[in-house]
Amino acid sequence: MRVLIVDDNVELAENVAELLADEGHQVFVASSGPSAIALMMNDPVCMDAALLDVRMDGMDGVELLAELKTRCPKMLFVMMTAFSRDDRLAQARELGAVDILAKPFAPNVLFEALQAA
Amino acid sequence: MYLELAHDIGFGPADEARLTAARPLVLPHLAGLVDRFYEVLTANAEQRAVFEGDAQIARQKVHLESWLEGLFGGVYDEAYFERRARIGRAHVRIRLPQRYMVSMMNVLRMGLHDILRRGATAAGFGLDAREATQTSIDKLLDIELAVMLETFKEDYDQRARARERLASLGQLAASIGHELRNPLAVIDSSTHLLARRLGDDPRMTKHLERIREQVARSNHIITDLLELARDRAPVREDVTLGVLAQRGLEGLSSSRCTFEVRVDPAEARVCVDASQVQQVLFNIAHNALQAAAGRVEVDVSSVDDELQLTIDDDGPGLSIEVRANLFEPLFTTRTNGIGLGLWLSKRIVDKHGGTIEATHGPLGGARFVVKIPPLRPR
Repeated sequence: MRVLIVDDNVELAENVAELLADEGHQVFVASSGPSAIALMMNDPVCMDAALLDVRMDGMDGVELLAELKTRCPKMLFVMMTAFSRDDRLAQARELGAVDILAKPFAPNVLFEALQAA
Repeated sequence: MYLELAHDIGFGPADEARLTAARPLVLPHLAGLVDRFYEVLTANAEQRAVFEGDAQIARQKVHLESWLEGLFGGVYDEAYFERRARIGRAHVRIRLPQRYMVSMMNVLRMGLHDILRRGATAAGFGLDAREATQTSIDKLLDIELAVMLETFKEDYDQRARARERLASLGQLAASIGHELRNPLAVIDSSTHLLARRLGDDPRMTKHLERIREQVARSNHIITDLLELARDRAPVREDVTLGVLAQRGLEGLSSSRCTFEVRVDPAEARVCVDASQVQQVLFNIAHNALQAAAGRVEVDVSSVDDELQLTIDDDGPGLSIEVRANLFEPLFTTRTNGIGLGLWLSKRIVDKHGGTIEATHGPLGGARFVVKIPPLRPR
């Protein structure tokens, strides 16, 4: 599976990428919404799934989801958040996010979310 | 303040002299009055529940007799009333309902009148002297009651201030809590990555496991702090007992305790706010592990769609004072506790329309029972 990981917490994004790479996924990391869009522009093929942090400066994860969804309608989205109750989560679900991971999350929770995706 | 009150009530040297004079007449009958007092007191189930058993009642009887003797001591200065206020505060600490203070003071008043009526003639008191002494007793008991009620007011004010402090503290704690979850997520994922690279070294594995447990614990503390600020209504969803137990007890273990969890049946479904109920389960089970000498048992079950959580430990149990204050914010008996867990747990259970009770348990320590009824259509 080709997976995009977007989180302004770079260390976390890298750890998640490493965990997924160990599982045989092809991973791409971006630290902001705009850099994720730039990465996608340079990639002619849509990715299978994206893991997006909800709260990021500038463009947040939900805005990014909306943007990516128009470019790649079949892409599957999983959100990551440090906020257990967040108004933005309902919007993410409305836009088609299939799962929401509460930080900190165990690897098996991450893998299950992507399997379901 | 109390001397001013005594002045307003008209309690003066003549009353002091009358009470001193009545002392030899009253003293031999105080033990009988104390017995009568506890007979009346414990006839009421709610009042009886305040006491742990007969041994404690026997101790309280000794205190009451000494308190009654003090009424006829002859010295009623500021120090006297301060001593009496300390006794009032002891009643507040065990959460004796305030209304009983009034009714039970009346039992004492009637009892003392009765002692005077029956013994006055033999003791050489004329009718006028007897009536005047009864009035002096009434005045002093009015002041005593005011002293007792003042301690309840002190306690109420103190708790109101604590709640205000908590509300502002909660806002700050919530924002810090969110910030801490990101680094915790990095630490947690790094331990998983390290575990994969390090292989099977048992010491390494043990320490990585410890880091993970502490991350989970920190995350639960953050959840408590966020709940403190949020105070939200439950959002009920269908969840199995197995999932509730597994997520609620995640990260809990103890090298010195047997930790037994029974979930019966694991696939049974209940409709509750899963994250809130998991928080309740974690907080109580975590406390039990801290208090236990060597054994904790957790039972998660469902009876007629009502969720029941029972947590037993074999620790020292709960004293009457601890039991009375368990669910107060910032109340803790541990040096490393912050005293939010049980308060938040009770708040969550209350919002579900359920109950949470702490009693003496079959393992010799504390037993906590949480019951959460299903949501009934109105």
